[in-house]
Amino acid sequence: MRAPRSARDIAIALALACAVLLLALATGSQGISLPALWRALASAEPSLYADVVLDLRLPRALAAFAAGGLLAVAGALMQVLLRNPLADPYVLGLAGGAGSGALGAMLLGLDALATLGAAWTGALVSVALVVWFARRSFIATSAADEWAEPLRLLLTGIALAAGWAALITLILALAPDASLRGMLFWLMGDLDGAEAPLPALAGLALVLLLAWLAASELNVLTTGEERSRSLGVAVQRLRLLIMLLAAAATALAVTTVGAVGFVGLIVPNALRLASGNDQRVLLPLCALAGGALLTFADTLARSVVAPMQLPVGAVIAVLGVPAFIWLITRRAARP
Amino acid sequence: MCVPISASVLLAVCGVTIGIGARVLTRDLDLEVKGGERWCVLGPNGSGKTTLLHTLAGLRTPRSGSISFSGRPWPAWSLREAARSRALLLQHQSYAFGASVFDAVLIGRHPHMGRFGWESARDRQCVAAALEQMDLTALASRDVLALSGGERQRVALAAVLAQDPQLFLLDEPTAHLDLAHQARLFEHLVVLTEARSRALVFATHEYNLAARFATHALLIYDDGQVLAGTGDELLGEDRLSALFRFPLGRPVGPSAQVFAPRW
Repeated sequence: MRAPRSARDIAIALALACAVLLLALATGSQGISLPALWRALASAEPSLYADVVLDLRLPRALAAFAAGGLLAVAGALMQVLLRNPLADPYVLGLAGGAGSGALGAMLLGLDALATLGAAWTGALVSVALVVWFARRSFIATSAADEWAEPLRLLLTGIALAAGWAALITLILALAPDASLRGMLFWLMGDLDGAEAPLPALAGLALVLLLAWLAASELNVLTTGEERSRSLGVAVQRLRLLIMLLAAAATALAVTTVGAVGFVGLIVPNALRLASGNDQRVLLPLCALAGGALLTFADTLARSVVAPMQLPVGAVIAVLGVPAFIWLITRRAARP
Repeated sequence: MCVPISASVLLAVCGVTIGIGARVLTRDLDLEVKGGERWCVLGPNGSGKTTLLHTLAGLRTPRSGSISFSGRPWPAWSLREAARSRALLLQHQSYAFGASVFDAVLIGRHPHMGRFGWESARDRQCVAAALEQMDLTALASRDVLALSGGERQRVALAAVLAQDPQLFLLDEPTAHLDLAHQARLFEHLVVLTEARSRALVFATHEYNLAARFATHALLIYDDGQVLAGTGDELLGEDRLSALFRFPLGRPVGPSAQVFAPRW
């Protein structure tokens, strides 16, 4: 009953992702028809189309895809870790931590690898703080505790995110004028400079693989700590793995596209409603649909008011906020 | 007493003291649970029934003493092996996300699944049988978040049945259950344990249910004292009245097998 449905859902998401990638390649100041796109991709001869598509649009589309997939997978992992569908790398301050780390590294003039390391460190500090403050939700023994936890968790995340925002403001105030504009654009979510999508794509594949190998245990973890231990899951080790993966995914996404919110919140929750909460299916779906969503948003961002470009973070928020409110009301209305 | 004499001893508890903070809940408990036995754990609120069950499951280290399952102390068991041998029903069920009843029960099969955690046809059969046993077959595709309290309790019980352990540790298994489902559950547990390879330990406040279905009893008093013995020895009106600090009696007449509070 379930296996064919899962295969169908993944096939749909895969088709959607391919369609959005093709749309991203065909859309722009120079519109390219699908047959022309195919000829440009298939032929080895250099042409204007081939240059535009392969050197400009393809790397950018793939970078957006990888970052969107990473953010959606990070969101799904955080939601399982905290057993709370409202958890998200952006809301809980992971992205803020990664952004602060990355900006701090930029301020010190460090190279790309060190920037990524600093972003990962910032994101990890955030996860660790959230988990520490919200640890009571793991040992909640009464129904009353469990109802109080989501609020407590969100308030903790908001406080952390505000703290990181203050730190980012401080870094911007200290930054020399020459690098200020670049930092600001990066903060708004900027794919303009994304030209090397391979590290992010490889990161997405690795994070997805490692998370997927633990997917069955993640399913058990959604039922609580004590139940998981009684069912043979090494809870502490699994939590550490999730924290490392979610922080790494957020850091990689943030250093690729800057701060982009909502992907980690909307995508896993929408997929849960559409396809259920089996992490073995949900995680690959998140990678595909998150990637498709951010690629689509970036295509809009660079084509709606062309030749001007909008920050992709703002486009995602315009799409994401109404979608999320719709999801919440729909969920409440279900029998 | 502390060395299992016969191979039929599933759980051997040896000089175990359990405490939370400064409080001692049970002191120097010695206990042997053999295959085929059904133990009820009775005691007033806060006397440590839940903590005892978690300790018996090997999920909590006792302050002193040791607990062995099948002759091997719990620390020598891997988490997964232990999960295939004993199941623990928690007092509270919580579902953070929606899931179908079938999937929620399938969680109980986790310790039996392969490395990559995909269920086999046998896992699905076990789930279907457990659903049937708990009268949930018609609800299999419903969302657990849309169920009533009693239906959720049956889902949790079905997951424990699907886990197919040798030792059942059930914390208030009949909570929220209507009478028909209480009887159906315990009649099935009797069938399972009569095969002699399985045993049951359950904590409850339903002393009549305990008297009807338990072969042995464990009475936990407020001061950490514990009495262990057969149901015939321990489940009398004087002892239960003292345990619950409320007078209980057996009304005379055709219903003489039940206890009733003397209001």
